[in-house]
Amino acid sequence: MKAVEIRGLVKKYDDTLAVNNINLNIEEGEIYGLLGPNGAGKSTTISLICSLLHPTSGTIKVLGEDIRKNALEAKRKIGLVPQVISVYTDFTAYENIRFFGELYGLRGSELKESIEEALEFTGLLEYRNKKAKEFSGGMLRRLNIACAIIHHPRLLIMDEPTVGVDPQSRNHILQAVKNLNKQGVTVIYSTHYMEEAEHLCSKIAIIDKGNIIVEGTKEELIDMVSDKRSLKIGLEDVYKINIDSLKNIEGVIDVSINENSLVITSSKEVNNLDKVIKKVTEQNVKITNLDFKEITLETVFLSLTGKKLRD
Amino acid sequence: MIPIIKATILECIRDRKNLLFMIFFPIFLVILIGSVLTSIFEQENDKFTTEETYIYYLAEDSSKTKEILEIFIDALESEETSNLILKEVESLEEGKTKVQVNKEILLHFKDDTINVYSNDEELIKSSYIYGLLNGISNRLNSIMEVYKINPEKASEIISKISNNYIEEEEIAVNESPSSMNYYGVAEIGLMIFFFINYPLERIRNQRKSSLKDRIFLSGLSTTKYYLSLFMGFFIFSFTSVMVTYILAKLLLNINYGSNPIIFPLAVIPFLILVNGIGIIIPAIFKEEETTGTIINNVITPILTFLGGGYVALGEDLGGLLNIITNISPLRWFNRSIFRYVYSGDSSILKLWLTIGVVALIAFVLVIYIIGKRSDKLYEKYPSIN
Repeated sequence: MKAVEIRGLVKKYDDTLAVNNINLNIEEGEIYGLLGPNGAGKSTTISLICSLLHPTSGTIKVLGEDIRKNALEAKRKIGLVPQVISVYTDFTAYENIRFFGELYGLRGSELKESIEEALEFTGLLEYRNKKAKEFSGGMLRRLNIACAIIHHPRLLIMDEPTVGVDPQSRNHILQAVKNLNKQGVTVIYSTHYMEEAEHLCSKIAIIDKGNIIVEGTKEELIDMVSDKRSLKIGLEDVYKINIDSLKNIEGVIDVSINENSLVITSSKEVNNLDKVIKKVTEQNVKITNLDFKEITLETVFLSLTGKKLRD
Repeated sequence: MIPIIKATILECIRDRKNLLFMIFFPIFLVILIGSVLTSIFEQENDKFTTEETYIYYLAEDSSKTKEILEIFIDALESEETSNLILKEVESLEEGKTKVQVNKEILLHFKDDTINVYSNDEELIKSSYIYGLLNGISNRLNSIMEVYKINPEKASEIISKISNNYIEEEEIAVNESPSSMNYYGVAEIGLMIFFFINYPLERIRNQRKSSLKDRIFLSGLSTTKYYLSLFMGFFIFSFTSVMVTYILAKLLLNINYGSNPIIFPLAVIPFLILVNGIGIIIPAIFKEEETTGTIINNVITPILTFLGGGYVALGEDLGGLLNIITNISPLRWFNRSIFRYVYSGDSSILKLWLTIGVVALIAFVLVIYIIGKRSDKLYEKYPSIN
């Protein structure tokens, strides 16, 4: 069965087209990545799937339920981890999770067991009686997830769940997503961190300006841009370099600065390595390292949209 | 709905700073303003007991209330120490002018009703007159009932009647509101206005934090969501006000009358209005950032002033001002309590409770319409299959 089936989905706000004729098929058991920059339409798409927003046109089916006809049935099969922290900050972790459990009709021993399970799953068992407002950013994110899984949803939608968290909490969250998926939960994972999408998702859709530009597995997406290569040049003083002079070299698609390195994306068809090296050395900057970078989803996104994910 | 009601109450209770402020600040205000204005209220009391007071009356085809008027006149004339002077006026307008300008009292006898026009600044006087008239009216009614069974006994009572009810009603003068007693009602009423911030802020926060989205995702309808919030906020605010009420009664010995139910009853319509408006505004206006500021900085102070929260306002301020001041729930709240406690007059309280019931019905209706509109929007959109 398809977890989510979207046909011709459009969402307009006055003159702004937030979602433009999206078609999507997400199979049950997948971790499906929605990758795109801020404002690309990821959150709007998620709100539409959850029937929290009304589409201008199009159909959405969630686990076989048409949300237009059976919105209630569809909604109760979904767990939502919103982009912002959606908990009562004056409540303890236990009270927050219990609140959502009660909302979904859980009572008595079933409720207690589910709360314990959610706390354990997110690593918050020992902080159960601590108020949410005393939590760190990472712990709040984990509590946000715990509140979404209390009713054992078949579809978990996570909207940028790792924004602003420490690496330890991020790893914990990513591991939790994998574990949930192993238990059979379908996950829609929205992010603008391409490393997360690469690491987690079995299938990825790249969204920009309300359109799905491309959809496929990580390998399929990278194959699409196999005609490009990425050269990383380590420099002593990278800011002395005139980037525009490099962009004018034949075959160069993009030049960017990453810490102490220049990242130059260029066409595989054009052999321009000597020209690039010459241009750099002409500017009296010492090269410290030279490396051909692996093609990433960032390169894919750049190639398809002409801009970076975090622009 | 129950989880939302529980969570709403718990969330408000956990906000300790605001909770303590809402409970104790009125007590502080009563002590502060009550103490400062004690001398003014005492002067009013003294003035009434020592100075001559004119009561104007207009008897208009008053066959049914004629007996009361006659007994009233007899009673005042036979009481040597009375400083009440009764005078007849030619017209209702003339009498009203006396009330507005001279702050006197006007009794208008017409058919089977007696309208008492007085100035709220002269609450003590009007309370006294209310008491007298009520006493006469009640006794006459009792005599009529006795007469049906035992006419001789009724005559005996009538012969004694004019000698004893002034003495009895003097108790009402002693119980006229002191500054503490006045502000013990008015300042709690003032603080009730500020309970509007609870729904205003929390609904806005729930929208911003997507908590509302999560709640809707559980399948709760829009109507049930807002109704649950209303119940939660109402229970919380009512309980808070009751705590203040009990503390004011115990610590400051505020006179809320002998019937402890009257004050809580008068609070109910006020809280229905405050919580209802506090929920409807963010339910209708999605971008209500400025709404809260306007309510707190403009509307609440104006309504508080019009309601007599800062200074006591007159009862009859003239046509337009009467209408304007009646907009303030605080005025209804204050008057319903004072009239009942100091005059035994429950007419304003009854009207105020009726307003509360109408407001509740209107609120439920508006929320129902908002909910239906929101939940039925899907039907408007075309689908592509």
